[in-house]
Amino acid sequence: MSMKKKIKIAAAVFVLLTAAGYGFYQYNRPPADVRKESADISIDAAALVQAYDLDEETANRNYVDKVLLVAGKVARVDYDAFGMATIQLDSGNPLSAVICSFYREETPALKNVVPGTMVRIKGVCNGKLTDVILNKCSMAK
Amino acid sequence: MKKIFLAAVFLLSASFVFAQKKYFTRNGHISIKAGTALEDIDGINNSASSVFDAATGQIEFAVLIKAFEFKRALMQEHFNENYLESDKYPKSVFKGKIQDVDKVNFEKDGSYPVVVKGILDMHGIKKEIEASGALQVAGETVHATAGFTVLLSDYRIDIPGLVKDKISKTVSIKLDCKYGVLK
Repeated sequence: MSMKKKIKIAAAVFVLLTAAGYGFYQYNRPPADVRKESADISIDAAALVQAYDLDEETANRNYVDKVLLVAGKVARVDYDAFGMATIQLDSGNPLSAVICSFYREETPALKNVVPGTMVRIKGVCNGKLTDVILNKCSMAK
Repeated sequence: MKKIFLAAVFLLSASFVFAQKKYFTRNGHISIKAGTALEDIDGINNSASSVFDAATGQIEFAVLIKAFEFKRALMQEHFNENYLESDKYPKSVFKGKIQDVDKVNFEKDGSYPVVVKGILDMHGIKKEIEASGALQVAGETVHATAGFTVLLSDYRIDIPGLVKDKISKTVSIKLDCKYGVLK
């Protein structure tokens, strides 16, 4: 085999392996850890709910899929049957709050959080049902 | 005077009995399973809103499609962008009725089997579904569990040929919600 041919084969193998490796990496890539990301937007719970009440479409464009740092007063803390924690932030509007669903590993960090506490929560905005919903949440320091 | 008092007691107790008790949750748990033996595809949503009326059995659920979480980032992207098109159809809503709600005694702790029938609006398509499950009454809370399956083709969700063997044609949906009394 000529040297040229060997180099060609080696290059082809390299490209194939890289592609396969990249494919494998992409396939197994876990969702981004929002806790390690910095917030795109800082906002009050009240202002966030107001923005949604005013114009849901615009609010979706501004906030959905963005990492938000939301400040507000804890209205309640709930745990579901699987131990996942949700904090409801008061928005001043009795019909609509901000619901923050936490990472499972963040549950222990919530044990001192009681209704009435002022907190800042980081999470990804998913949009609004009756409440604005934040997912992949963690407490901001 | 005594008559008025008795009438008042009667009216009060009557209004108590006929009080329209509503239960609600804002952090209902809904999971979907769409994998095959080749691949596990599980999505979890912890922020479903739901309310039901204990007197009439009317029940409603709403979820944001974007709030489903998957173990793999690509699954979540495909789920949102290719299959459920969450930018176009951000919400899925179920409206129905608990068929045998009169057999559930909300004043007495215990587990009651129920069947729920109604319309599931997903991916812009409305279809009737039926789910069987149970309501577990414990004081002021009701813990509901139920499951059902849907055909992807019923909801115009097309799976490309390349991944046909990995994604099931039917999706099983399970829900687990802890309701509190709506005051």
